[in-house]
Amino acid sequence: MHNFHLIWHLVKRDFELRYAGSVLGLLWSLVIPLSQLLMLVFVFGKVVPLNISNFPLFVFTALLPWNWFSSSLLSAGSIFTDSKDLLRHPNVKPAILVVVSVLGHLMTLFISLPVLFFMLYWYDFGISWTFLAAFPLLILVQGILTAGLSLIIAIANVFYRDVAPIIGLAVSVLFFVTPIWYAPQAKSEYGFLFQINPLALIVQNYRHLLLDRGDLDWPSVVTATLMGMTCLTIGYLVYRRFESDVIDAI
Amino acid sequence: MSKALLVRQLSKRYLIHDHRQRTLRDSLTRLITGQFTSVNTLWALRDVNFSVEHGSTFGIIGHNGAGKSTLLRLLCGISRPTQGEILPDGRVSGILELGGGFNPNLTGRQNLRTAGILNGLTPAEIKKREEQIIAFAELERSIDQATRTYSSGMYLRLAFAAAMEFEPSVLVLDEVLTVGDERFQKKCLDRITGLKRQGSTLIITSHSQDQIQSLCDEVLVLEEGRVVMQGDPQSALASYHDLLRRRTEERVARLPRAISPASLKTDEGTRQGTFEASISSVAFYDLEDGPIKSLESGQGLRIKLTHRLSQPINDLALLLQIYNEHHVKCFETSISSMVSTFGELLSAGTTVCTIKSLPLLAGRYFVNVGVYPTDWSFMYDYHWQMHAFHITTTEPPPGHPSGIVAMAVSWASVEDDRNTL
Repeated sequence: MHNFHLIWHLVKRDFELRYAGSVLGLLWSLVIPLSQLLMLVFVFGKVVPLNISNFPLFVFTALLPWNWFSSSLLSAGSIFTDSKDLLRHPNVKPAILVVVSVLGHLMTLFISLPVLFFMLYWYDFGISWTFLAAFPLLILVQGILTAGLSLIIAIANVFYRDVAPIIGLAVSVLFFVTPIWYAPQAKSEYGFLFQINPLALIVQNYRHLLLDRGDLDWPSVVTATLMGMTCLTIGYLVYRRFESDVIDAI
Repeated sequence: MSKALLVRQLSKRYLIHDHRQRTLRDSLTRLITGQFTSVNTLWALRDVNFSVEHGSTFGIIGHNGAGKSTLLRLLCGISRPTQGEILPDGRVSGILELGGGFNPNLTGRQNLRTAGILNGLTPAEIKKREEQIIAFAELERSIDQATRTYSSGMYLRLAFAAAMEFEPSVLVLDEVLTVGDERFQKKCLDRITGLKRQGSTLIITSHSQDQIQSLCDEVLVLEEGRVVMQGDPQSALASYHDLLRRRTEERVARLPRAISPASLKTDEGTRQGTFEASISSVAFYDLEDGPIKSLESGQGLRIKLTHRLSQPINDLALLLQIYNEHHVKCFETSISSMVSTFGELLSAGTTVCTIKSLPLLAGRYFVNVGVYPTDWSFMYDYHWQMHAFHITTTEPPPGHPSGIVAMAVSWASVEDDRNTL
């Protein structure tokens, strides 16, 4: 119960910190994905048309999970290094801060959700019961993956400050090998990229559920879950080994 | 009494890397070339054992680098022991450094709420105490501003008020009572006394020996990560002074050649130090700069200290004390850094201390002076009961006064109206 209070408080605090002194405040959580959407729609809908039907909706279904993933990873490096004030406290186990960070970025996803629902309604797609049932599962799978990676990044960055820039690079590469603004050709010679990129698997499932009104693609969900669990296990082992050094090093 | 805290065979080892931040490249180079630079280890604490009784005030003293801060960090759970254990863990809270614990970009109130949650309070409980804390900290007007705009005094007041109000079972206070203005310090001391009366356990460190003496029930002396002794404040402070003497002797032994100090025209008292810096003369004058050997009680005294450096030294700390013949301290003053006080440190120079009025009872007194490195870790030169002067009174005061301070006393007898005898 106390941990629940603590995590909830820290998530709120994260938001307060992120938007301290800004005029738009929480609205930024909407402004950013919408302007990304606008840019992608302009470039790949008008300048170099890819001729994908319902393109804005097509992009937005992938943009929301992608943003959760990328913003979590990009800020993961500073989870420990910027939280000296919290880690000084005996009740704060460092791992809690990773959970707080991932949940905090999930909140931004939830804030944009009404926009997605509105677009689904606008393009006459509606929301299937299958999606509502599968949504928490997809969130959980992505959460495990994100938390595992964030944990590794956060610890590594305490000891090697080059980790954060490397992650910046990796995330921008990943942006292009994740089918956000294009539809992957499974049969092409690069098809394997979308099989080994867990985020591509997750994004494809969102599209399948929302746009094709289909069922979960269980094999891909299981693959993504296994990848996520592997990351989390590695993260946990690293954490067990370095937990006390992290506290001394920051 | 039961134990509030039990520390068993506690050791803490730090890994010392080179000063700069390690980068991935360094590690990769090392991995490829096979050169594993041996990482130095530093035992900040070695096999420390002690216990703190419930409801007592426990002091920790030791020279800089003796392991005080490491011990407090371990007690507060900020750092993990390499070996040994602390029982029970977790329920200790404290104010260790100014600047830690609060996020500078959040307002005082936001930080306060976080602190409350971290101390295990529910949001409702925090709300109940919030106004009390703000009132105690006297921050009604700036509580909704970011704490980065706070002065160190405001910061301390908030940290202190919060720590007090959240009532931890053990409260750790590191040097905090030396910060802030005097009025607030007094308020804090009152609050601490109140907590003591309620049975809270306190752990404090302080450079002020008077504070240690008056607040603590028991004191632990640390030196180079080991416990030297645990005992009552009186004997702990004595052992602390012994350590200072021992460190000085050790340093003398390590000097390439012994330095003989400038001789003084006195055969009284004792003198100790490494003499890398020394006091070559102590002379007494009246306020008109006439040399004197004795002065009338209540008159002014000017003391001129001449120092000389035999080695290049960057900075000195200076201590001046007045003791009576029975080794009772009447007065003490010090300069913690000659450079920051006077702008420079001359290789030979005179420092003048003017005491406008010296209201001591008639008798023989000594001026004890010392020069130290600025961290007070050993003595360059200390003169104990070497420089005597006399306080005289031309008219014997009424009522046979005794003690230390001369005060103007008059006696009178007044008839009581209700006296029915």
